[in-house]
Amino acid sequence: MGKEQIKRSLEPNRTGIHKREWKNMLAGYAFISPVIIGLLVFTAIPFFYSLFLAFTDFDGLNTPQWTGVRNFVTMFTDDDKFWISLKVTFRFAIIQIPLKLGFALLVAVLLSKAVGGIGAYRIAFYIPSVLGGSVAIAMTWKTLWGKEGAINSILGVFGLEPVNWLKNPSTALYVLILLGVWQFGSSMLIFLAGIKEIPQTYYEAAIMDGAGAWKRFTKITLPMLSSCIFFNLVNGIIGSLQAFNSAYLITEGGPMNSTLYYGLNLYTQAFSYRKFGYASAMAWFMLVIIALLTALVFRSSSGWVYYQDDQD
Amino acid sequence: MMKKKTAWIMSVLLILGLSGCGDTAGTGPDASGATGNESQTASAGNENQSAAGTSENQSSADTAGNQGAEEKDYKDTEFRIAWWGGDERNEKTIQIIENFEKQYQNLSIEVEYGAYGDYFTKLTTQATGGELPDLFMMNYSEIVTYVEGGQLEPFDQWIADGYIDLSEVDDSLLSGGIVNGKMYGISTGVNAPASFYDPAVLEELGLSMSVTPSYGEVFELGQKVYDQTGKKIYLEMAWESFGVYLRSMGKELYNEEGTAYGFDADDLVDFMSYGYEYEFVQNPVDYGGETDAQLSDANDCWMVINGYWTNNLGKFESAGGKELALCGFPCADNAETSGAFLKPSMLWSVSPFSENKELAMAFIDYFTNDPYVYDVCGIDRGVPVSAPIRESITGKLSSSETTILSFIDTMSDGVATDISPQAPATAGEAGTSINELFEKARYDKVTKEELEQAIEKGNAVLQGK
Repeated sequence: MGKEQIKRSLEPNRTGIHKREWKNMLAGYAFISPVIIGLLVFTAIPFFYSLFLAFTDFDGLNTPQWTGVRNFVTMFTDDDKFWISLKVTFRFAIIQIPLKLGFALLVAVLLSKAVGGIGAYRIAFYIPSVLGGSVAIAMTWKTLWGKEGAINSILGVFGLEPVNWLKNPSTALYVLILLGVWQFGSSMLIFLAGIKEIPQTYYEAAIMDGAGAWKRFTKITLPMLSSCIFFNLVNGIIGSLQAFNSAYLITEGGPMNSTLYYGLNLYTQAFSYRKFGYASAMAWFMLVIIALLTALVFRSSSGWVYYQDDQD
Repeated sequence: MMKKKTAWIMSVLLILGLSGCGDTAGTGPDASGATGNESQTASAGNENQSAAGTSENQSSADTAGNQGAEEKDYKDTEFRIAWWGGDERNEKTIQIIENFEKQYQNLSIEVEYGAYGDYFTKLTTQATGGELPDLFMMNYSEIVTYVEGGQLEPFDQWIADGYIDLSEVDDSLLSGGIVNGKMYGISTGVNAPASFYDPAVLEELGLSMSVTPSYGEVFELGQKVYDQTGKKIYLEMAWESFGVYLRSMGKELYNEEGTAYGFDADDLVDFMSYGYEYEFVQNPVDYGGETDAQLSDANDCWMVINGYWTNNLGKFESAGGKELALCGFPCADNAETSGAFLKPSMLWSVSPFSENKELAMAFIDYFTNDPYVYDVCGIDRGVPVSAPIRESITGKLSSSETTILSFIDTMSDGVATDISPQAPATAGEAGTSINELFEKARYDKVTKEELEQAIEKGNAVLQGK
C-alpha cells in the first residue's frame, strides 16, 4: 500500500510537471523577467525600429520618409567619409587585435607561475581594462600624449625631439590603438584561467622527452588555449569594429579624419547632421560585416580550436 | 526558503536603485535624479497637447507677470528648464531660478544643464522622444531646424496678451528670434563677433589697431609685433570669421533661400591666403597650451582670432591672467563695411508641448526685466536687451564687462550692420567639406580645385538632394 502511495506522489500531474517544480520555474521566470523585459524594450524594439529607419530619411523631429535603399546607395557611391571611416576602423582593428591578444597571452603566461605577490601584478594588469573605456582615462591619455605631455618629456630625457602625437595624422591613430592595447587585462584573465586548466602532466611528459620552453609553449600551451584564443578573437573583432569612445573623446575623428572610427562617423551623421535614417543604414551595414566575420571565425574554428572536454 | 526571500528583497532593491539613475545632468532645487526620470515620463504625455498657445491664454485667469500666482499651489507642477554653460553660469542661473521660485508657492523647478558640445544632441534626442524641457536655451544657428520641426512655441500671441513685457526692448534686438515672420526665441542678451588681444603689447611698441581692422592691418601689425617680441597671432579659420569677411565685401555665406552658398572659390582662396604659412601666425596644431590660455605669458601669443564672441572675453582673461581688449573679426581689405553684426547671444524658447506655458512666459518676462537677474549674472549671457537694465548695471560692472559693454555700444553705434539671416538647417552637413579644408590648411597647401569641389558638394547638400 505504502509503495502505491509513493508511486502516485511521484507521478507527474497532468501538465507533466510537479507542482513544486512549477513553483520553482515561476520563481525562475520572475527573476529573469527584468532582463527579458529590458531586452525586449531596450534592445529588440529599437533593433527592429532601426532596421525600419535604415530605409527612411528621418531627422528626428519630423516623421520618417520612406526612401527605399537610397541610403545604402548613397553610402557606397557618394560618401567619401564612409570609406575613410571603414578603412580607419579596419586598420584600427587589424593592428589592435593581434597586439592585444599577444600581450594578453604573454603576460598571462608570465603570471601563471605562482610567484610571491603575483596577485598584485594580476590586479595591476587587470585594472586598465576595467577603467580604460572611461572618460577620465581618455582625458588622461590625451594629456599624456599631448605636445607638452609626459611622453614627450620622457623623450626629452633621451634627447629626442617632442612629437605632436595627437595632432599628426600619421601618429594619432596609433596612440588610440595603444590605449586599446593597454586594456588587455580582461583577455589576459581569460588566458590565465585557460592556462590553469592545462594539466601539468603534459608539461612534465614533454620535459622528460626533452622539449624546450618554446616547443612546450607552441605544442602544448597554445593548442590547449585555442578555445580561449577563439573567444578573445571573436570578442576582439566585435569590440574593435565598434570602437567609439577613444576617438570621440580624444581626437574627435581628427586630425584630418585619420581617427574617424566608423562608430564616430555614424554618431556624427545621426546627431550633428540629423540623418538618423542614414546612420541606421550605416549601423546595419556594420552589423552585417561583423556577423560575416564572426561567422567566418566560427566556421574555421573546427579546424584549429580544441576543447578539452571533447573526447575523440 | 530564507535564501529565496533574501534574493527577492535584493533584486527589488536593485531594481529600485537602477530606476533611480536618471540622466539629468544637474539636480534641481529639490535635488534628486529620481524625480528627473519621473518628470521625463510625465512630459511624454504632453505630445498630445495642442501646439497652439491661444487656448491656454483664454483658460488662465492669471494676469501677466508675477501677480495672481500666489494663490495657486505649485507643489505638483513639473517644470523643467535647460541651458548650457560652465560651472559659474550654472551656479548663477540656479540662483536666479531659485529667486523666481519664491514668487510661486511651493514651486520647484527641475534644472538640466551641461556643456555646449552635447547640448543640442541631447535636445534633439529629447525632442524626438517628445520630452522637451518646458523652457530651454536656443541658439541662432539652430533655431531654424527646430522651427521647421515644430518644436518651438511662437511667442507673438503671448506677447500681445501681455505675458511678456518687451516694451523696453528695441525691436532690432528681437529680430534674431524671428523665423518666417513669427517670434520663436527671445534674446537673453546681445553679443558680437570678437577677436581678443593684449593691448599692453601694442602700447609698448607704440602701435595701435582699429576696432574693426582689416586682415591687411592685422597681419601688418602681426609681423611687426613678431619681429620685436616674438609673439604670434593664434588663428583658427572658422565659418564665423569667414562670414564677417564676406559680409564686409557685401556678400553672404548663404543665398536668401538658403539653397546655395553666396560665395565662390576665389573668396575662399583670398580668405585663406591670410593663413598659417606666416611665421607670426600660431598654428593650432603646434599649440600645446591649454584651451583659451593662448594669451597668457607662457604661450607667446598676443592676439586670438578664432570665431568667438564678446561674452567669451571673461574666459580668455582668466585663463590668460591679464586684461584684454576686443576688436571685431578682421574684414577684407578694401571692404565696404566692417562686416560686424550684433547677435542674440542666446535665446529662450518654449516647448509647444509644455503644460506650463504661462510659467515659462512669466520666467522669460522675469529674466528680461528683473534687475535681480543681472545683479547675479551680469552680462554673462550677453549685454541685456532691456534699456533700463543696461543703464542700471553700467555702474556695477567689472572692468572686463565694461570693455564688452563699450565694444557693443560702439558696434551698435553704426559700425555693425544687420545680422545675416539664420543659417539653413542643412548648413552643418553642407559645411563638412569646407571644414575639412580649413583643417587641411593647418598641415598642407589647399588648392583652388579642392575648394571648388568642396563648394560644389556643399551646394548639393544645401539644395536638399
